[in-house]
Amino acid sequence: MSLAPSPPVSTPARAAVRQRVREREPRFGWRTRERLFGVVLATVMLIVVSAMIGPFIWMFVTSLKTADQIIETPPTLIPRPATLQHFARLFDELAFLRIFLNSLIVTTSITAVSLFFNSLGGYTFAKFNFPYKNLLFMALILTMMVPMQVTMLPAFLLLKELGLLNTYLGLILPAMSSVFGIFLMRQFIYSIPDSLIESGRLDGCSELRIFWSIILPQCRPALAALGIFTFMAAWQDFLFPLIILHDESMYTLPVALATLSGQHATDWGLLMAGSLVVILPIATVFMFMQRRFVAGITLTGMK
Amino acid sequence: MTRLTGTTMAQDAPGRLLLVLLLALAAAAMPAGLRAGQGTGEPLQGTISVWAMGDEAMRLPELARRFEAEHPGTRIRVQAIPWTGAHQRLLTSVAGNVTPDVAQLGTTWVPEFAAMDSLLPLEQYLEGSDISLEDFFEGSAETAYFEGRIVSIPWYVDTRVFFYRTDLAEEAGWDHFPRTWEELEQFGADLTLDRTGDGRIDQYAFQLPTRGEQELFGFIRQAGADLLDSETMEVLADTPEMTEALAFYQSLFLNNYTPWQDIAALGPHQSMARGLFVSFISGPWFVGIFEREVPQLAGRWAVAPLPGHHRESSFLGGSNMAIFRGTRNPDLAWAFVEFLARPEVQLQWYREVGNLPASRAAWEDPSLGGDERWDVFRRQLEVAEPPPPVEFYKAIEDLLQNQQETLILSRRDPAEVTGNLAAGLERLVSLRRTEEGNLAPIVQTILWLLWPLGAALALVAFFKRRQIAGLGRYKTPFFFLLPILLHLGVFLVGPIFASLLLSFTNFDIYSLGSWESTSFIGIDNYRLLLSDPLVGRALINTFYFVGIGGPLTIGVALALALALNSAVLPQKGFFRTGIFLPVVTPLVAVAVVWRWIYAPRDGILNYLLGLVGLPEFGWLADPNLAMPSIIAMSVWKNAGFSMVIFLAGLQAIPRNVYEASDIDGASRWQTFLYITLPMLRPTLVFVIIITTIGYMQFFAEPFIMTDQGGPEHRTLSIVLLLYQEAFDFFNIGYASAIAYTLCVIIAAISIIQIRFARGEEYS
Repeated sequence: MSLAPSPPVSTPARAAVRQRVREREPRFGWRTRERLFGVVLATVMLIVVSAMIGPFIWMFVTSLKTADQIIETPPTLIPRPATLQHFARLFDELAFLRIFLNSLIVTTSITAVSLFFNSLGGYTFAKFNFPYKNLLFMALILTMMVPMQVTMLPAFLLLKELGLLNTYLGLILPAMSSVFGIFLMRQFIYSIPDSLIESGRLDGCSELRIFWSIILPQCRPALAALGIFTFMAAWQDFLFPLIILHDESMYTLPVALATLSGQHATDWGLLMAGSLVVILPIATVFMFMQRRFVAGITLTGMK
Repeated sequence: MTRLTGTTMAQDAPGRLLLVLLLALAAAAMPAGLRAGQGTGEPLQGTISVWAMGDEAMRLPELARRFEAEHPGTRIRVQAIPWTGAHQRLLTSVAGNVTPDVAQLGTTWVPEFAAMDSLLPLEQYLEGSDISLEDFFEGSAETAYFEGRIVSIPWYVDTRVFFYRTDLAEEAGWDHFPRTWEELEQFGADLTLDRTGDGRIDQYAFQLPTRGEQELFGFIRQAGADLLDSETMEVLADTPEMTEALAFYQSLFLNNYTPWQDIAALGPHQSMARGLFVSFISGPWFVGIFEREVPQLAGRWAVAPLPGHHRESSFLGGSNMAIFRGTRNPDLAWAFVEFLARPEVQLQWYREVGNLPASRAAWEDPSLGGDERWDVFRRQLEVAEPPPPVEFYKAIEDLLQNQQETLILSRRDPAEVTGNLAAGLERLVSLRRTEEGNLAPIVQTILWLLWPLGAALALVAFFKRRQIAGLGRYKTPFFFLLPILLHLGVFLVGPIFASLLLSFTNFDIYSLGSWESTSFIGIDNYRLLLSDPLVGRALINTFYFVGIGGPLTIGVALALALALNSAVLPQKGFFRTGIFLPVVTPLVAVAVVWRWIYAPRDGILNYLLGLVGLPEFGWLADPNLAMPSIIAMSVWKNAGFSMVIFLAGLQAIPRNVYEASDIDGASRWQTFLYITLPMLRPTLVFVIIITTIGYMQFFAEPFIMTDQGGPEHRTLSIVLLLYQEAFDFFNIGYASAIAYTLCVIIAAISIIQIRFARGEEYS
């Protein structure tokens, strides 16, 4: 990665272009084309995004409809009359606060702890040399290729033996670090210049300090992305909590919601209301975290 | 039948080194001893846990309170288990020996859990009891047994009847629903109409499934055919009656009396309300659905027993209550099960949730007896029959559905299908375990070999201590990685190692009953999967999905990320969130919406295509279009995920590089090709590898969208196949072998990918 300042540009024409770039002022001619491109891009994106949001809107509308409105064909966009009965049922039939707290405790713990360990692991693999490093890393990657469906039973028996069935820890501990996370962080930490680490060492920082104060702030976009993924996966996980948690008061949100469904009949309104309740916290987390995508390396990488 | 039962005793696990494997085996080997605790006359006390399923469990506490009031000092703790995943939950709890005292079991699950030797035989309790199996419908009482022993008590029943539109039938001159196959055929001819005269059928007489073994089972039994004798394990399927039943079922499709695919998006009642078809087969729960969701149809629909042929019959299902051997309070458990079987309690249960009582006496009550509809169900229940009570019923179900599909979608000759069905059943019977296994001594031997191995390692360490001391300069990476490697070693590598070992054994439901019956079978599982046509099919599907879906997803994600990273795009936060929404939307919700999009008759996509004059496509129901449809949905769902990673990666490219290229007058395309793409390489490598690994393991989409891999297995993926093997049939050994075969394939692909990527990455 080039850290040297760009060589001075001498041609007057180039200098003029550079001047415009510097000022970031919209001009006629060259800038108009740029604007036009922006409008076209925004239009295309608007179409794409409506296709993306469509089902979500449908879900929202359905959660407010009565049973006979839901199955109307063609589907109507406005629920008439709108009803909150499905949400009311969620709160009536489930110990909602407790269940929400269960999910929140487990998910935030997993996210916080695993972000730390995964970035530490990613940093070690990206910036240190040690014997068998690549072999070890390949072995870790290899474990990703084993479908969790076959390791679930042994993992369950292991947790049972450790006395962790039906506990928060039983859900948190297995997710403490993940190969996916280590791999993701490693790829990003590659692009952090070694000189930053070296200067930290020269300043007498401890190795952990270098990681915490120099490396972590540098990979905020990646941490934000990984944080969202981890949060999302833990928040939506169904099968593992289902077999680990044996007590209804320990159920997480997806498990508790699933108990409301019948064997044959599906209550679509209830299902959609439940799905919304699951999505909203993740969407909120995403909206806050996504701002981080534009922070970080942009400034510091070129100091 | 010489299965190994009863003789299980608490096994002393001979060591803890192969921890996980041993646990899997030992836990299964330690069911609590059989307790003979019949009526000591002492008052009941204590607490039991009861697992019940889905929304029914939500109402069960009300009955439990009534029981507790009758027996002060007792407590019934009801746990609601979601229907989705209930089977896995029960299987794992048996494997881990953490079963409840009492559980609701679907009637077809009873034999399976009884075969694991996990259910308490109930004869001695029944002897001194007020209830008797003769109180129940005959078919329902049959479901209480496994291999001649009573292992459960019927709780509620269901059966299949025809739901039909009376007004449409009358319009065609039918004042009753067909009572025989001949009449059914005539009904089909009279009621299948092209009302608009455009050459397209607008009204089908029936809506019958191409994958629905319960409906088909009714026809099979009506023809006098059968599947197998559950006592002698003799296969009875290869008969002319079976061919007759299959031919008749097929003819209803060939004559177009029923559509060739499920054309409704949200259940058949809506399409029936609109007159798209006149009748369909379903169970008692649909009565409530009709009343709730299509009130406008009141008075214009009715139920009718399935027509008979050589005899009358229908599928009988429902749920029983069973007591697990692990219970510490069998007296209380039995008292509660007995309580639930009492006619008045069954009646109360019917009033609260609408489940039909299994007890005949409950039906004498006016609230059930007076109603014409319930009368139809009652008559049907008198002749309805459960499928054979064998522990591998799930596999039979699967076999029936597959043959049904080839019968209809491939228009296979019914006689040939009969042969295939019989052969399939023979194979399933032959897979039953009858002899002692050899795994136990082998595991012990391995454990003994571990000692010298450990000693050898210690010796090596001693002689190489200088080199080890020289490793001191790697102190930092060592301590950084230590917690992570410890963690992954225990929670990831441990289970992987255990399941890898299991792939060389025949670990299955019989192993849960007594783990001595498990054998080390070498590479037999791997050999078996090479000749398994489904594995080949699933591999082709998986490569199809990865080969087309992978590049598409990555391309779309990259394009979206570039657009979002562009300086000229306004409102980035809105766009980012919008594109990410499908990623967070639960698949159940996604599935509903996309089924609506893809529905052949009322679907949004076909509607739009119809506007430009294109014909109707079957999408998910069409064997050739099913996979492309699944891929399109997956791109929509997953692009946002990779987009987020690309966005983070794009941020890592310093701005000044772009400014330089801007100054040099590079075009947008050149900038992308010569600056963005090379700088994005580590991210791209990551996304490609992750997407390949993730897509090679794709599973959820066909699981929920195409009824577990249909039509004709065209969307069956490798992981879906192994999931079915592991959790539907509990062939853990075989499922593990499939998993490691897949693992080797993915590894090969990934190594190639990494090779290509290497140059840049390590420089």
